[in-house]
Amino acid sequence: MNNYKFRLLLIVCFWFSQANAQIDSTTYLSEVEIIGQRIPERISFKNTKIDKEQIDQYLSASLGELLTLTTPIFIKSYGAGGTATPSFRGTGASHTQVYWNGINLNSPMLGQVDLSLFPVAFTDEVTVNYGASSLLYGTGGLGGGIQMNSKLNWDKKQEVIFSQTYNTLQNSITNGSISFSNEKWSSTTKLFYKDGRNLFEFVNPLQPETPTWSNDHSGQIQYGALQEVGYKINENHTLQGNIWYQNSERKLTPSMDSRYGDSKQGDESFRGLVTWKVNHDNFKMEWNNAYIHDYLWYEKLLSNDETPKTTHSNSTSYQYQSHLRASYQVHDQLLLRGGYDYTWDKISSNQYQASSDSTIIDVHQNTIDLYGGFDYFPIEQLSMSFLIRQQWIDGDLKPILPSLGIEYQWNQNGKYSYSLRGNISKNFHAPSLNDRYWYPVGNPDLLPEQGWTYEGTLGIQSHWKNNWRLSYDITAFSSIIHNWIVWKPAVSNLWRPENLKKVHSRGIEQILQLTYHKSDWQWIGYASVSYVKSENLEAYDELDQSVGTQLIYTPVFSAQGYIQANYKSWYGIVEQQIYGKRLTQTDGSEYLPPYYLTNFSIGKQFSFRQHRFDLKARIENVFAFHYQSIARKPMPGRVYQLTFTYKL
Amino acid sequence: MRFPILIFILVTLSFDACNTVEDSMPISNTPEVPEEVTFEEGLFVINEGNFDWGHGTLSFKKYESDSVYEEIYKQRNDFELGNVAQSMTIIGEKGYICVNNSERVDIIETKTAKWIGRIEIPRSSPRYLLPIDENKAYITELYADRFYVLNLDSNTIQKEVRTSGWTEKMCKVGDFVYMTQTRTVYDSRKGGQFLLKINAQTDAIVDSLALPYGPIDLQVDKNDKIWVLCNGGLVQLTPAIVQVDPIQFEIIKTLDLSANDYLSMPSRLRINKEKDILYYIQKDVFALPIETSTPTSIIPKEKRLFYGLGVSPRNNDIYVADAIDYVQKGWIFKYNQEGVKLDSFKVGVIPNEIVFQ
Repeated sequence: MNNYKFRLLLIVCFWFSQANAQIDSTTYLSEVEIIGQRIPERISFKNTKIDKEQIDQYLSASLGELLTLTTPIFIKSYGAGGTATPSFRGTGASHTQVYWNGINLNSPMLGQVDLSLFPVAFTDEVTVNYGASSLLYGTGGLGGGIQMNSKLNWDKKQEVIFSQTYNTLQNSITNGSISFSNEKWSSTTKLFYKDGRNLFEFVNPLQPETPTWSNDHSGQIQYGALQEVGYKINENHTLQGNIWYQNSERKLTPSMDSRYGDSKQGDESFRGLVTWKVNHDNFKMEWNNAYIHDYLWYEKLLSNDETPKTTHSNSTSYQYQSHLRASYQVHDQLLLRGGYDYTWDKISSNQYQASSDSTIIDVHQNTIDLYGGFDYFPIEQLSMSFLIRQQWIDGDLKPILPSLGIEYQWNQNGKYSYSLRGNISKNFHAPSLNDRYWYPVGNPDLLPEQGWTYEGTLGIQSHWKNNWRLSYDITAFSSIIHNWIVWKPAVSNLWRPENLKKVHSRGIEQILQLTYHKSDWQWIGYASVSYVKSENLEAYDELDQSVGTQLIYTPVFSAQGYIQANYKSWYGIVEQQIYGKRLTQTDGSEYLPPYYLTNFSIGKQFSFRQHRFDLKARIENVFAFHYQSIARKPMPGRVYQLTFTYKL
Repeated sequence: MRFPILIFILVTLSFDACNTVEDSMPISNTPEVPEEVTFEEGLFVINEGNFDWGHGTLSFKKYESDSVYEEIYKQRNDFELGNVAQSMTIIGEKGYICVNNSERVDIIETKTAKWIGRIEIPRSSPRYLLPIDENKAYITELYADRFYVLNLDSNTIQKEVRTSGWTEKMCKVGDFVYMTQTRTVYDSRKGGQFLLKINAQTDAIVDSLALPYGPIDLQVDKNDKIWVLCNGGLVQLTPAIVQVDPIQFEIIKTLDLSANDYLSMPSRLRINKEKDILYYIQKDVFALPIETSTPTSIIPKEKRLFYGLGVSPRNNDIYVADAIDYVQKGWIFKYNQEGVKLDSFKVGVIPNEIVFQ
């Protein structure tokens, strides 16, 4: 069996194992352990996994691009190569928490992440935690959480991967990785370089005579290196070290109202992580200690002189994080878990005091969380999960966050098996440091955003005796978030954060997966369809028309899906994304029309002795559909892309 | 295995865009302005639009009717004004609109709102325009440490004059132009708070008068004295109104406006038809007769956040703009001189300037 078939089989097996896992909750735990050797996710809370095989298909993409194709998360993009922020279940960008091997990557200053800055190639596995499912890793994921995890290679073989992508936006993306291991040691080195010009032409109906303009101010240079080392102390203890350096410099796409771009942004980060993993049959522990250094700068040209006047802002953040996560299987029916999360932040910014004062001010914050809980299986068909989390910020006691989920499964030997899951949870999101300290508008009295979430899921799995497999999930959720933070001018054009809104977000998510396998053919189909209504319930005053109106840049309807077909060494993928209209004004007086994007890829694998090659052609936005993600920011039409991958 | 290649070619060649670029543009729910409507006998409201991704709009309200026409620029021209529309200056039949972030001045025929032309100034942030004589106008600038001299015949920039900060409002008294200069909150240089005196013939800055922090607006009274509103800055918190003698070029008197925090920063200075009562916003709308030193609050803020201010040169009615949350359509409230509310109407996103015909 060649390796490609083996990989496909793995995908299929993985899905089958997941399908089975949900039928028998006791095996569920051990299945996950075998695959990831990680502390298991909570039962009865929704999470989905994007595994290595799927990630390998998108080696040149950013995390934002991957999530937009494979999850219901809506990604708001400020133009080609621009900042990409998530809206998960109708919440704001800071309500999605991103974790890298258990370390939180949300900027302590902004509270959010830019998903265009994370190359997919630097992760081996992505887990999406919906809503309260993210409470196992930390607070603040009112929409949910995204985990990027590394899986070290312990198979005692050397692996080399080189991949080069080029597309008609004149973007070149190069990836390389080398990994090897023996009994004791495992090492993976990954390199990434992207030279993206993001160059395309667009017709501009906002200007007199509808000229054709060139999107020539979106260029981007991004590069990074990741080194991961594992050392097996003995059978049960592993030490792991990860170092990730990355630098990105980009021109910011101007709106179609302006011919000339004038702003640039740089993001540089260094992340170092040491993990001690303990893995006994019934006791598992991970102790992470990380140091993170982020440097963010922004520059705007202010005059048309030969050496133009510029404005320059820069902020540096230093973080130390320490997390302990442990689980103990008391007996077949009971799993206990607990741990702590600690974060120390220090920000040096020229935006935290008056510009007339040339000293740079330092702001510190200490956050500690303790949590504990259990997963309990009173009978074979019934399981429940309870977790309670308490956070202190600089010694201030924050709201206590309990969450409880129950799952019931039946008809396990029938043609279809069913599971019913329900959970209730409380979560909160603390104001970011910019919210609290931005000069002069930072508001130290801001309250955390908080609320209860209710969620219910019906899952159906097929157990047909033919080559087809089907799984279907339908989830309904509802959450009211109080003290929603909004930046609003307090006095002529000085914006200031305030706890202004009460937001009710509720919706229905459906995920359908269908696979078929026969001799040389594999078919994999995936579709997710979501309706999310997320609206403000509180008015500032009697003139405020935002009450009962969908939050801006949040679609009510979205759907994404793909069909992948494999035949011998050939493969083809069609991807489809559909987003409904998105309001751009809080009173609904302006909106962006729905859009439909279709991508098509086709590829072939070759091998020559132990060398393996993969050549893939891809067309993005096949129908050259005209669309905008942010109002008046140009987006590319059809893009042709070629990827060559070499593996040894 | 030719089948996939065939699909590939088919998909690539046989489809083209199934929508037009116009179909991808933001759609507004603003009612259509009937073709026969002209924009005379009324006032214009310049709505900024959201910085970077929004669009500035022009609203028009007839004095003698309740009709308000929104987005008249876009409706009459089929393209948009750009973002952060800052001001409009009417010269004869033309309106010159400074569009700050879009780095240009757009010119319309005010009666029809039809676009006539455009003055593009790359990497500029034009703020206000003042006609100096039949052939030229000055344009002030937010960031670039200069003001521009515009040739009104050719609509080209004929000169750039260096300054040392953010130039904002202007007036012409006699042969000289007076211009406020301050610094933005992002500017770390010290000083630079001036009233500049410019020779209208040569465009040269001939003198500068140091003022309290943040000179941001000015008016000329019936005695040809200049009144300058200084917002007092974020840190200094020393807002003031200063009366200046343009001939001697010295401060006649300074009236301190107390401020406890930056939320009490004053903005907008307007004058009535008789040019003897000044109006400004400091949370409330205040009136300051030029002969006294005691401003009185005539329109209390209550739940509003007042942003723009205009005083009608026809009948001294006071118009105040509220931008609500700055991401929805704002409102204009009309009061008489005693502060009695007469009318209110909805306009565009972030109503900034009210221009009377």
